[in-house]
Amino acid sequence: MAFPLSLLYPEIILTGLGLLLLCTDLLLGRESKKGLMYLTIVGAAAAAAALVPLAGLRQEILEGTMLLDPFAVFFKAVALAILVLVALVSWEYVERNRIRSGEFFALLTFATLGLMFMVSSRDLITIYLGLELSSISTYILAGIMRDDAHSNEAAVKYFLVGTLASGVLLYGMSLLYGVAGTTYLPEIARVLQGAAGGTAGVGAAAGNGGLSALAVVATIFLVGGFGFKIAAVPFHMWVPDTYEGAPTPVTAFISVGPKAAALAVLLRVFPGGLEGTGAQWTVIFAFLAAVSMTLGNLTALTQPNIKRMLGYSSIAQLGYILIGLVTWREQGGAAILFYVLTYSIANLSAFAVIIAAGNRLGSDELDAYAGLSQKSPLAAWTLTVAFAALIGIPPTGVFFGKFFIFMSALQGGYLWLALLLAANSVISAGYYFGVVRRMFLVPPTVDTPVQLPRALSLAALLTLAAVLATGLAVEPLFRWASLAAVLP
Amino acid sequence: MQIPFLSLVVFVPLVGAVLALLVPRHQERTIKILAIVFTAIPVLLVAWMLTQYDFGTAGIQFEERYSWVPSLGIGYTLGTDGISFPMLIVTALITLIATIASWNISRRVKDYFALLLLLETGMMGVFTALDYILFYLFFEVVLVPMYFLIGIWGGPRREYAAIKFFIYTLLGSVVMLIGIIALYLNSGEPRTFDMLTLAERGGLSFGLQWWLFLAFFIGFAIKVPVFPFHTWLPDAHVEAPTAISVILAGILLKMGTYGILRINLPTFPEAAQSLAPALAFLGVLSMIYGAFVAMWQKDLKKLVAYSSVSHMGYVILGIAALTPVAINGAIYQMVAHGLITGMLFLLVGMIYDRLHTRQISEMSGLYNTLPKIAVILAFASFASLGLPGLAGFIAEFFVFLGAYPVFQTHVIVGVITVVLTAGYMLWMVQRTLMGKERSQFAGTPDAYGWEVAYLVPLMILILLFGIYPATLMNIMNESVLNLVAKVGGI
Repeated sequence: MAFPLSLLYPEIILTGLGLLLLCTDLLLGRESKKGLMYLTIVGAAAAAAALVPLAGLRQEILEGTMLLDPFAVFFKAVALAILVLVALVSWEYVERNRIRSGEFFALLTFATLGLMFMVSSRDLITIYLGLELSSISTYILAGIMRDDAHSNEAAVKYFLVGTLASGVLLYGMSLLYGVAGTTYLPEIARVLQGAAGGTAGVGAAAGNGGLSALAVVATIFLVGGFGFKIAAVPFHMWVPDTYEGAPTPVTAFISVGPKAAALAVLLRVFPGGLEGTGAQWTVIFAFLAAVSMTLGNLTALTQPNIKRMLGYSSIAQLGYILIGLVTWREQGGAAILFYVLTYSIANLSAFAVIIAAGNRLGSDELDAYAGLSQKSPLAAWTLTVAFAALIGIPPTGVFFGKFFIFMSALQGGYLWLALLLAANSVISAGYYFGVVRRMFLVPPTVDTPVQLPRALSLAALLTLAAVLATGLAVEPLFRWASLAAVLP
Repeated sequence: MQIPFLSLVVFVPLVGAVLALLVPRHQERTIKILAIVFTAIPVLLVAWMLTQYDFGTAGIQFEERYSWVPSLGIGYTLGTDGISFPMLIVTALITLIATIASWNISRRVKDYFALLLLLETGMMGVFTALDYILFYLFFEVVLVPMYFLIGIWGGPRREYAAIKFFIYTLLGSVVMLIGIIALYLNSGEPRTFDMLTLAERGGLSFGLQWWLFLAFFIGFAIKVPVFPFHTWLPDAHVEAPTAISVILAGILLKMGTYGILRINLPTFPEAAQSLAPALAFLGVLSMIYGAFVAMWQKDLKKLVAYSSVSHMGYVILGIAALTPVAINGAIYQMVAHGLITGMLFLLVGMIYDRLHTRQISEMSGLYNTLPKIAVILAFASFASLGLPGLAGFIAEFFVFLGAYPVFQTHVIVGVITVVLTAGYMLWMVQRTLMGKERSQFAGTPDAYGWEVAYLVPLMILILLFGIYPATLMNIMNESVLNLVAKVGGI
């Protein structure tokens, strides 16, 4: 079936951008490599511009293996915003650590391209392809500082666990194919629903007894595979070392990009595709949400390194988000979309400061942040607002994200998850404000001046404004998220 | 065109905070003057509002209503009535005085005054917001500047006190947030976060009312603080710098009791009736517990801090009685306690600045050493113990009078507190002000003119509210009658 090529313009532009970055790298002298950052930002902006006319469309691409709908457009917009912000905060780090900038920006672009494919996939094969494109790019990115043992360790861990997860996922997908005889999600849904409904009268006592055991096993494998990608407890073991060892801009990217896309895929696969098996997987995700947020927060409390701390905090944040998947029937989807968007901004805001501070303080240890408020008020306040947002204090966007999650949990009758989320928000204040305490209440130990370079100041100000603006302009954002969260 | 008084009162301080941030760091004098100007404007605005205030109505006045998130029914709704207007007066006045009293702050001046102004925006917002989400927003906005104000400019254990305050209050507010959402989801169509509409609509089952009352009450009880949620208060008070203690005692604690009056009573009337005895019990418990612990204190500031726990217990008892007289007394006590305890903290601060100690045992004979401060401290102590003719007496009298028909035993037990209060206050006066003059304090400067200048208005108000209660009663009575009619009494 023919489709207008314009539906794929954003992806085509990004592909071109990646290749162009690799070629331009060869032509540019050592001093003018900064041009690659500008090129990335301009390219991403062009892709975003190509995305604008696609808003509101709902059209299948390539025999339905991909679907361009408001849902996909939303996540593509988030992915491109992430690319722009990460590129903006990367340059100085890349330059200081003598990272090969051509490869760095090209891989970043390809990783984003993978995310964009993932979010519009409606077929197990295309999902897997997008996932691998982004995963392999990020494995390399994590280890791009070849002479740095930490970076190598991070990459190897990430790679080994990641490929194992891919294997598990692929195995689950093959089982699902065995059950349904197709890799096309709507078709799978139809088959499973038929199986569940057809035998409901016969085996009512067994609940989901109508589904073959194979489908259940497949579901579990899928949850496990995706669990690794989104770093839910108990599939999170790779997070702390990878977050700490990877170059900080890459950590920033990992903490939001792949997570957002994997959540999009989860929404497509579970509520969208495996709806028939409802009861089973919502229980699994309720469990994952509960343990992820609780363990993530409790472990974050004791971390001495800010990147590790944010690694665990991102596990906890993911736990919050998963509640939306459990309650997807009660606007949980819209809550997830809103949360992912606002969380990504707040987290990147925090990372902008961490990159800047890390470059100047020469350390990512929490104690190095002592007295930062006197060295750089902008950095300290940006980080404070970002952390206040991550705790869920209004008037920030993440507050409303959390608010929507609370609302969907209460509407869905999951009071215990809401109470757990409330308790966890309070626990998280312990470590987020541990950093704030060091920045504001503890006098500086070393007298290194901290002067933010222009790109990082801009990124800090931009994200700071966005964190607050998303908290005030809730109406249009929420409408967009609700509109986009309608899955066919 | 109608002047948006309340928006101005709420956001003028915020504008001041932003302007203060734009002034270069070393121009400390400019920043201080700017802060005083921007806290004086709300005082003038509130005074202007008082001239236009309609004393004959129970309804909401100076209402401003705009849509914020229409698809969820969240509005930007501000308004005031007889319950919140007295709080606006206290907030505007106490914040101005606290700002003036902060003149000697010398560390990180810019940050201090910007945060102080931001704090005022939060407090004014809490007392004027009539939408649950807006209310929650301001309730939380208060938290962050307070954390920094205690944590950066506080005493030796400031870090601990600041985070303890933060965690406690955050815990209360997230529980409240769940309550807000549950209320919203169960209140029928069209869904709204409008406080008045939801109170008007009613129709909640008794069981649900009970749980929601509890969810909100936990949030507010921590703020008041009601025994046994009070343990953050002594730490926060003792470590906070003087001006911040004044704001904490004078305004922040009232956010809790105000919340109970504004939300718990009218929105969950049946639960309020059923839980009133428990509430009264907690009130009396706080009164007596606070008084006993205050008596035990060796530190002057801690004594005042625990006296706050005791005095806020009166407010809880008054609210629990659900009679017009008692609730009038409760609001009266909120105002009186704000003025009196604010004054006590100011005086303790002034004494500490001069003697560098707060230990009661280390001072005596202050009547001779610091005569002006001593006289004013004696005045404030008398006001605090409820001397007839001063504001505290009227408040306590109304609370007891109104609560007696309902909670006889509670009142009889509660009256003991009056004796206890007189006991620890007079004992404190005796140990600090009277006795032998200490030679090491000789030559310490007494209160400066500018310090007396901001204490005198407080004294005048305490005297005025003590002699002529109608001034304040006229403002609140109609709204209180309306509230009691809504709840229906016990």
